[in-house]
Amino acid sequence: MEKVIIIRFGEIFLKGKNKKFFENLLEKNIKNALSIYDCVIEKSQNRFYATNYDLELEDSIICTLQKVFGIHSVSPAFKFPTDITKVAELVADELPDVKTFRVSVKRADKTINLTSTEIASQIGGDILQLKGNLSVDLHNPELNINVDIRENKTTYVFYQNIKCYEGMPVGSSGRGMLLLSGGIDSPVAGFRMAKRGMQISAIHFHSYPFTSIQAKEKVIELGQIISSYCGHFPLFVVPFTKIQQAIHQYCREDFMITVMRMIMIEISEKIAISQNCGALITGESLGQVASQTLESITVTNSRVKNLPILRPLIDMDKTEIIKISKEIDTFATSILPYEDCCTIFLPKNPIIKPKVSISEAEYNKIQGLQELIEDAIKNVEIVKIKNKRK
Amino acid sequence: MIYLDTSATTSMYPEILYIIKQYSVDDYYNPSALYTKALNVAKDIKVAKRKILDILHGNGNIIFTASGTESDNMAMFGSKKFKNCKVLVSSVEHSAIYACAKKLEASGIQVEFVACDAYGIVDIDDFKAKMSSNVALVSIMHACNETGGVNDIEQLVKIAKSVSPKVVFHSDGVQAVGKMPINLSKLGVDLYTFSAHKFHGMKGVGGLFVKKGVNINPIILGGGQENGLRSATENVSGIISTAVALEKTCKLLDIEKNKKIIQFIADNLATFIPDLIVNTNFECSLSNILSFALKNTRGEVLVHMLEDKGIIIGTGSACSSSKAHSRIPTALGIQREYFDGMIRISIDNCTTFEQAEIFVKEFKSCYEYLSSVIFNKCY
Repeated sequence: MEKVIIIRFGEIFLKGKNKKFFENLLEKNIKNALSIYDCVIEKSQNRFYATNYDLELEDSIICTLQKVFGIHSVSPAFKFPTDITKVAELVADELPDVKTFRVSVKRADKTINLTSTEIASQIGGDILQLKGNLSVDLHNPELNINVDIRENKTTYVFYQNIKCYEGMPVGSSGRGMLLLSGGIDSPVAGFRMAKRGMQISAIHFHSYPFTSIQAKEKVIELGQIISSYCGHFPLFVVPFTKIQQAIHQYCREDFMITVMRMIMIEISEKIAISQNCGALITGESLGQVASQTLESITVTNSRVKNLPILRPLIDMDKTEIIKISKEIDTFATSILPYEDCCTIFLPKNPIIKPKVSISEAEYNKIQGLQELIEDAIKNVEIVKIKNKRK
Repeated sequence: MIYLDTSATTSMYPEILYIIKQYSVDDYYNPSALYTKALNVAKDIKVAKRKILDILHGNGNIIFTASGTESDNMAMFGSKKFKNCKVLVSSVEHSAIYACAKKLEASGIQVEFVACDAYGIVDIDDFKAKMSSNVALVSIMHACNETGGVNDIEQLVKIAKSVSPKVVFHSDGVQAVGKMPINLSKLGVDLYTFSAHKFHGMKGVGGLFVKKGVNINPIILGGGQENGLRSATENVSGIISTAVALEKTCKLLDIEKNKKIIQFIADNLATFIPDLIVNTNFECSLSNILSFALKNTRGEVLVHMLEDKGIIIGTGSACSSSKAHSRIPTALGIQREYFDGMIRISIDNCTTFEQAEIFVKEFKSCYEYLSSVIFNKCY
């Protein structure tokens, strides 16, 4: 009897002619995610199986698999050659300490002349004979013994069906450039798009010495956390100090944030295109702050010419975003007190409903802006973000 | 590099490395063990303790801990309380005391915060007004870590004991030890905290002086080391090196030189900073600290700019826009537009006049540049 982990597909199960592509990609992502463990990935009949691993690391492997998008669920299972008369005997010693159980059978192997219900009752009876202290409860059992009889003369027995994020394998939906600020929202936005199969690159605007080195380190740490979901990626750190100063010098105070975001999105698009990204990703949520009103978003959009801006959090409340942030483990880092924008450059009363024409006029007031933008792009620092956590 | 943040920490004396080696590699024995080699280590600890007590003129015992913070916690939670008692602390205490006071308050003990002046020095009249016969514990820092202001602990102890004879008086001396002569007997304190890394000792070593006859309860239980007051195998090299560091630092302490350097910096800053607020009162302050605040300026930005020029300064705990960090500037009565601009320069015997001159020159250049960014508006 061998211990394995059953890995079930999510949405790609429904794919038609392209199914092979998605399966291969998912297999590659699973292998990458599990490369830190010594184990084998086998594929068979619309499933993967992790085998030959150190049993001590089973929980850790399952945690890692839960972060691979495209997986519907996983189950640690016992695997043995199909023989329904021996199932009870094989699992009896491994049963957890419970009082009630039921047996659920799935029979893909149609060469067996019994129905699933008949097999279940036979195995249930065998278990009762071996474990006299147990009783059957079909409605609320403490333990559901799932017996999965496959076509290849192999049977799997498992007790748990651990749900995963589902979604699409990362890499199946192109690459997006995530504007990563260091706050709560943008890492969640990156996570959500990676869940839909998008590969992530990220960009951060750094205004040292007006913001601290810790602010940049915080963004790198956030990147490392989300890379456990989306794989390693490049982080483009744009030196933004001179532009920030120029905005402060030339623009109306209430338009400083609006113009800053116009320039940030413009630089992001330029770098995104140079990196073959097909979209920009932001953590904007409609109306959350002055720069995320419909009017502000319209102004930001006006600076982007070629790429769509994906805003996966646009309809979400802050509480909903925080909930996901806690779930994916970015929250504690996001709330570290290192600000990504110095208070010097934050107006007391930012414009809430900026007009595109006035915003453009303020943007155009900045002398030598295109040179500053080119300079910033030329001096981008590229940080390779890798997942450091198991 | 010019290091002007000695209130945050100091460089460890290199000779301590030999002490670490001696008691970690050669004489690594557990001082609680019964064999002779271990007894010798225990004796060395005793000698170190005696030396520290002598330097600080303390009549009592020293309990070694892992930090000034732990010593403060021990004083706050380990000292005896009684029914309906009250605890007094100053409003500018370090978080190591303030957080404990808040915890005591949450547990139902009445806690009152004594007001301070703009230099972080306790308002004697407010202290007298709040001192009552049911006060079980007073904790007033000897020298303020933000401003350098030195409290008249001797007078405060006399007032406290005259009103509540059984009161336990604790003083956090983390900033004071090594920066000014200390005479614990004269001060009259019952408990007194120090931390080795503030006077060129190792990080991770603190101490709580307990005056003879004063009883406190342990907050860490276990094998009963330190007369049962602080269980854990002793940090032998940490303890022994603390005595060495304290002795050397006190010998090298040159208060007059420090005062001249600090005065030189303060005088020069005033020549080019129009709205400068100096939070240090040179009449009653540590000789090595200068705290000042700049209007509508972020101290943190200047810290980074100077760091790029090889000069390290501190902002104090005050520089942050978050509410949690506005406690100290609020207690000092600083106006809101100065909150983010608090800066702390702290020196030691290694600091030279030449370094002070370079600092002033570079600070001026950074400050003027920052001002040009802030005030250079073209619309």
